[in-house]
Amino acid sequence: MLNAASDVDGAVHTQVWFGPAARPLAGWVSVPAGGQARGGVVLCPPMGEEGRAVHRTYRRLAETLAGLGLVALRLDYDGTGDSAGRGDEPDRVPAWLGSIDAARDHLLDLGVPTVAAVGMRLGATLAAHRAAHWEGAGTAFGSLVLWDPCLSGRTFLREGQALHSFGDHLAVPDDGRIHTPGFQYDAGTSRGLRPVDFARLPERPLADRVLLLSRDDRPRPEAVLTRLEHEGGRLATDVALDQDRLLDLPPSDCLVPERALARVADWLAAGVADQPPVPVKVPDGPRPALVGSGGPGSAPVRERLVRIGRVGLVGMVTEPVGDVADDEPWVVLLNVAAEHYLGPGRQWVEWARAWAGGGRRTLRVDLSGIGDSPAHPGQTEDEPFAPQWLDDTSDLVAELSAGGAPVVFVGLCSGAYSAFESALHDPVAGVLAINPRLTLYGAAKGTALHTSRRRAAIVPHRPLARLAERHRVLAGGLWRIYRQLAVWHAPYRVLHRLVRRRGTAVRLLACREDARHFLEVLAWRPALARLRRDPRFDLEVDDVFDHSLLTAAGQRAALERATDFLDRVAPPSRPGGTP
Amino acid sequence: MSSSTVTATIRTILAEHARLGTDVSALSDTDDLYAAGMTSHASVTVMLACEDEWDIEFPQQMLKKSTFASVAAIAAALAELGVGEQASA
Repeated sequence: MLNAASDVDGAVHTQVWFGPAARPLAGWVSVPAGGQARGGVVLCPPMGEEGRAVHRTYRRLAETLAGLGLVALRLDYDGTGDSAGRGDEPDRVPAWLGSIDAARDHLLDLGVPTVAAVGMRLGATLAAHRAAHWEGAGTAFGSLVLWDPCLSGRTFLREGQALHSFGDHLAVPDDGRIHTPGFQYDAGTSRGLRPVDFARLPERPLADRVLLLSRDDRPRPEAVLTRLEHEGGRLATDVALDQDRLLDLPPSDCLVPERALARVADWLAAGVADQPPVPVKVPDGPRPALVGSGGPGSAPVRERLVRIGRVGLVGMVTEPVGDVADDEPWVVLLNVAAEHYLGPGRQWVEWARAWAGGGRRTLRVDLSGIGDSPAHPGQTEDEPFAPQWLDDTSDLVAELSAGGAPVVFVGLCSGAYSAFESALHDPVAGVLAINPRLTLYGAAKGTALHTSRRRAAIVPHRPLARLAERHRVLAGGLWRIYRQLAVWHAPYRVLHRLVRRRGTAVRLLACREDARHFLEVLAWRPALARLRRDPRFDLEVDDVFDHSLLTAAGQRAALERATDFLDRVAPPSRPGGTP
Repeated sequence: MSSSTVTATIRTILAEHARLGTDVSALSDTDDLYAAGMTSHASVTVMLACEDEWDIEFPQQMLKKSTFASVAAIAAALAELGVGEQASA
């Protein structure tokens, strides 16, 4: 595995650990070409699902800022992203605010002369709160961008709570926590978020310059504007263009709001135009860090960023502390669709750490063109099911199994498809597949995603794929009728080939809607009944596994089943974990 | 506040927040707002606007799509929370 910082257009982009050594924060630092900068910028992401959606936008913003002579630090708050801690720990708010302070300090340690901040949604509300309660000299930030801010922590939670409840999910449990899509917050965090409110900010300057970007497809954020009137001539306002295309779509479908991004970058650069560039430190290449395997006081495990395969796919290894044998099994957690490798509700991070605490090693990884992984030449970024993903998974298996280690994949939806695909091409010991969908209308002949190399995909004929673009339900119905006769198109065949011919252990967890594709072709039912008696195969159909695995109950059940599967297929050589 | 005033205020909120594909005045109290173009995200904004307007909080059991599916459904939920009764008492 390679282990170096990336280098794009002369700027250097490095994964870093910073903040408290006992509870490190994760981030990416982008340093301008030549190692000279006019200032630094902390990028405070939104929280929850919005944070997942914004990953690409913030990466692009960091690259743009580096091109304009600014050092950018993409921050994961404590208990979020790759940072240490769990999202469901109590009283998160002080830890989140402390993370912003630590990011600011880290940039100053690198040598930047001034620090600005960009916050989006709750990230903006937190950054403004931090700035308004700044106890140091002057202001915390030279410039502050408030990008479509939440009015308050309360509105953030209420929006998430309502979105989760309005979705097609199971009944929300009455367990005293606030349930939002993928993420849950305890009562202490909910209380802690109430004072994080623009209407309650003290009347002191937030920064030397403030830019507010608000949506033009929503009513004016009056309470935010009322508070920001106190900024007087320091305040500039503009429209958060294309914010609906960033946040009102599922994270897998969202787009980078290029025009708003350019506005933010140009405004920040203008704020330091008079500042002569000064030399700044380029962070060392990625180094390992110790993080907890669970909540506070849990056994430590080691995490380290790796680059792997022909394009240098970016992944995070989580492993027990101490030496790990070359033939220790690898558990690979694949990114979902066009989303960064954190998994639904950050579950891949928390599962990886829990498993490493039990003696396993894992790799969570972005396939090419996703998250922080580069694209292959000619490949479109952020495109799920790219043909190049077949090369990526082959590269992963080849490198990880080089020392004789068995490889087991864990995937959700597109990740499960990729795992099946790899297992049909490469030596894979097992696949834990959650809600896989193998029918790929978008990969029909004549499309950019088409390749004859696919073995796990069920690719409908081109006319039907065209129909699906306009009438998805009708096309789906016709296809289901057709494949009752054209039985070779049944997704069941993929399971059969994997288990019976390749000997791969498969555990399939699916809600009824996603399981239907494997069950409904009548001609295959006798074969399926025989397959279900094979000890290498297990199918569990239960609506607790909501398609995107955004409910707490689904996440808990899937972790339990996945752990049981790994115990059976690839038990760790040192069960019980870290020395 | 009478029930007709509550309904009028709901319609004002919908006009500002629901981003419907049609003029809200063209819809009856029982017309389906989702069928008229309201998205899940927009319905959340409507919910928050109602909470701000009447200083209430919809309890968990009311947080479902059907609560905000029509003007009449929203009015019924508000009545259950005492909106209308309070002011007219």
